Amino acid sequence: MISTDNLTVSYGDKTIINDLSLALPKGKITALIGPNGCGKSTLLKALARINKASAGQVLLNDQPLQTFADKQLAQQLSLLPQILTTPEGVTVQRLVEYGRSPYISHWGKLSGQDKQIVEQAMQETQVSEFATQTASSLSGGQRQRAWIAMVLAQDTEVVMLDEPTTYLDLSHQIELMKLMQAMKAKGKTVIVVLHDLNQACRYCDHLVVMKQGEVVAEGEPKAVFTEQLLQDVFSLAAKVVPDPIANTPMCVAY
Amino acid sequence: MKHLTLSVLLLILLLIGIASLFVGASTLSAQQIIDTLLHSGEYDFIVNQYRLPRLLLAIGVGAGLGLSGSLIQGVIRNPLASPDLMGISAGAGLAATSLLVFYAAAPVYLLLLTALSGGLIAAAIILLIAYKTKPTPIRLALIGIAISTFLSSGIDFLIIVNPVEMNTAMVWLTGSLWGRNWTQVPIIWATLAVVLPFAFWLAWRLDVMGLGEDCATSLGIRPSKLQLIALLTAVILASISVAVAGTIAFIGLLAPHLARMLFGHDHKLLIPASALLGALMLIIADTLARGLQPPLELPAGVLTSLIGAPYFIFLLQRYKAW
Amino acid sequence: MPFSTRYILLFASALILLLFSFAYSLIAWSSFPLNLSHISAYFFNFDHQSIEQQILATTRIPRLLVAILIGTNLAVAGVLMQGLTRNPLASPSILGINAGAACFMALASIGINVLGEVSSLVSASVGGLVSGALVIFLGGFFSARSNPLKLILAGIAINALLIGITRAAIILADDRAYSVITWLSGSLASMDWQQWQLLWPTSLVGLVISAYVAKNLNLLALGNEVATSLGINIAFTRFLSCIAIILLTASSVAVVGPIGFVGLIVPHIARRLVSNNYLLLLPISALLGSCLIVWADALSRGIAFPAETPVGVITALIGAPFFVFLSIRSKAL
Repeated sequence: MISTDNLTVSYGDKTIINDLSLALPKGKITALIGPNGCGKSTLLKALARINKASAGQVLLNDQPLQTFADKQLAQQLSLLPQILTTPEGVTVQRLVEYGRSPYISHWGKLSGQDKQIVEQAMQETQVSEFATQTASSLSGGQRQRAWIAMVLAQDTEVVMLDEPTTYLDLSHQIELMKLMQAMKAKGKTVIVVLHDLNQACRYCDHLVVMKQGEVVAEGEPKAVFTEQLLQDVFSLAAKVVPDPIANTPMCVAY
Repeated sequence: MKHLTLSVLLLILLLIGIASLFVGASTLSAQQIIDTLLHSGEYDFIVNQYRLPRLLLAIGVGAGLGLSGSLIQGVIRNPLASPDLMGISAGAGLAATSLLVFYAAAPVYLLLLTALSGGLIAAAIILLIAYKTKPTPIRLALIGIAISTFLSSGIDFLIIVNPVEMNTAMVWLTGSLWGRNWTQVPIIWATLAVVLPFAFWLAWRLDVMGLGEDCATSLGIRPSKLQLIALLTAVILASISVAVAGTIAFIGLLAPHLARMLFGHDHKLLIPASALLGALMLIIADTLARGLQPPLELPAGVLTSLIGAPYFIFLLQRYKAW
Repeated sequence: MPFSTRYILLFASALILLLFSFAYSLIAWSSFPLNLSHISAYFFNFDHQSIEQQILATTRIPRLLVAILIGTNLAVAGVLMQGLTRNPLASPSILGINAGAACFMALASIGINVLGEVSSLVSASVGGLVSGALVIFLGGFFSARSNPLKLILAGIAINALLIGITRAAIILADDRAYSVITWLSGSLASMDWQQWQLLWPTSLVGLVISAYVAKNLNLLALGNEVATSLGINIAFTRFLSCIAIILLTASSVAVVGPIGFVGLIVPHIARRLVSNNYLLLLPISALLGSCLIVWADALSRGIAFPAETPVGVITALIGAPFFVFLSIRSKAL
């Protein structure tokens, strides 16, 4: 599905990701985890072609990313950045419609099908009732859902989310995780950067653990998530116990 | 609702346009004007050769400046950005003045090309500085104003040291529609006709750019390409406007602001509305310029800065992101 | 006081530069060939018959003296404004004082006497005062969180407005566009002894006041609280400085029209040379300012000889890039 081939990404003369080869499973939820500054956001942006590879390449369905036209790529791959600038005066409906950008005509006219997809995306994220309100007037959780609706409207096989839970309270975080699982149920590949390790273990199928631009471990949470790993990667003394509800690994720091 | 407002504006434009045909040194009756428009006659010169082309020019140039301003503000996301505050108008003006000073009989196409290259160079300079120093919006405005000042002193310099050629350049430069005739009308209207589709093509994409560069990229829009096209369009519009009517200040700043107040942030409405409001402003300014103390003519550019400067101050009072 | 050798050297070289400028400016670019011997003859052995000496006596000498004084005035006014507002971009032209003075004079000259029958100097002063006050008020200088850039932008807007009014007024009265542009750009072309007589008394008063407030400005730079506790009357110091700024700027504009950027550039260079001590800053700025104007004036005659370029155009051409540089570099903004 999506993979990297000796990928190197640098800002100026500072190399963030060095010679990384990685293949992410199709139709699963993959979480990128690691301490601050380990390069997970950088990797995510490189996977979405926002950051240019200084060496190596990213492959989407075995095709190098740079061979895609802008719109063509945007029809297969979407990314929700961590920091979102909600423009002034834009209604939720409009915001979600922006998700159709890769499909619409030159003049920005939405077809009937486009409108239907937008409607559906708003229903799935439960923002239909706010459709005519401006996005900036919503609460943090509602606004985040509106943005997710935009990504859903983009209707891509691969969906990437950069720390989507950062400004949400716990109940909204869980809501968001469930949305991700709903996307997976529709056959999408979801790649997400997460800070909450327990959520990553519970809701994701595949973990990619990063440290200083390198992948330290990769695989199913049950196989990867160990006390030793937490010590090595996060310098965190913790006990890993089974999650009482999902039976996935769960860490308790001490 | 918003489309209604747009239609009302169009109607006002039409009415003021018709009214402007009555304003000038000689007073004509409605009957006389209609007669002249339909089958020329006694007042052919005043109406058909003088007031009518001026009206069409005012609409074209005003629309061009308004459009240019809305595109620049759409790209740079800076409420103080506009072709005149960023030195584009002054660049086009300086280039065109130099041409007129050294080659007074220059053909029209050469004047257009020169003005255009002047505008492009000025835009390139300020963008280069902006790219190198990553200034805050306000600081960018300040740099633009300084470059403008520099270029306009260049214009003053050329005009003063070449008093013989001065009249041509002076008439052309003060930002006035005086002394223009039918020759300039097709220039500005053709430019508008070519550029308008581009502007509408940009509308949706500029909206999406408002979500931030990363978001726009992931939605299939390449920010650098879009910015380049939008700025190029804006510079072309501003430069051709300057080539036709000289530097008319503040329309490029004001029209998009008023449009945003009336129509919100949707570029599909903002773009036509800015053009419409720009045209409206220039017609009013030009009619006043002609009618305040006939037969004397004020440059329309002076009137627009009398209206524009207070608005600029008002803008400063409201601007929060210091 | 650090009157070390360095400062004495600096002062001396500035003086020499100035002296050289004087001599050069007296003889350069004249339709009549002039040389140094004519200057010495003028001073030591004046001959009424000599055309060259007559030129020196009636046009060159007064022009030079006016240039020196204008440069001093504008530079000192610039130092005072930057000191008062603590804003590196403040200067008479940018805060609209030049334009205000010019506007009121233009209105007066076409018969719109806002103030009744008064001399051009008074209308220029009032104009400068009104526009300066307006800019400072609109720029939020007195508000709790004043932003230096807001002040500058307010100044720019007021400038545009006033220049618009000035041009409109003059065109409506009489379309002598050429002379308007020349005068609005600031020109030393038609100076004679009469203008000098108009200029020097007010300038002298302004300069004396500036010298008087210099020490207080040093303390004011330490912050309002410290200055107060050191026994400085802040309001009075500000008031005196404002009076000095208005007198210096208005008298200059009344005589030669608005000349921009001198008050901006010179204090910056002077500050580089002698740091922030106003007791040194003021005289050095005055010297540098006169040098700048004398040179710019000589250049204005030479650059398109025999046509005269307004000196204000030259200073703007030098000053605007400097302004760009400052607005990019200045950390205080």
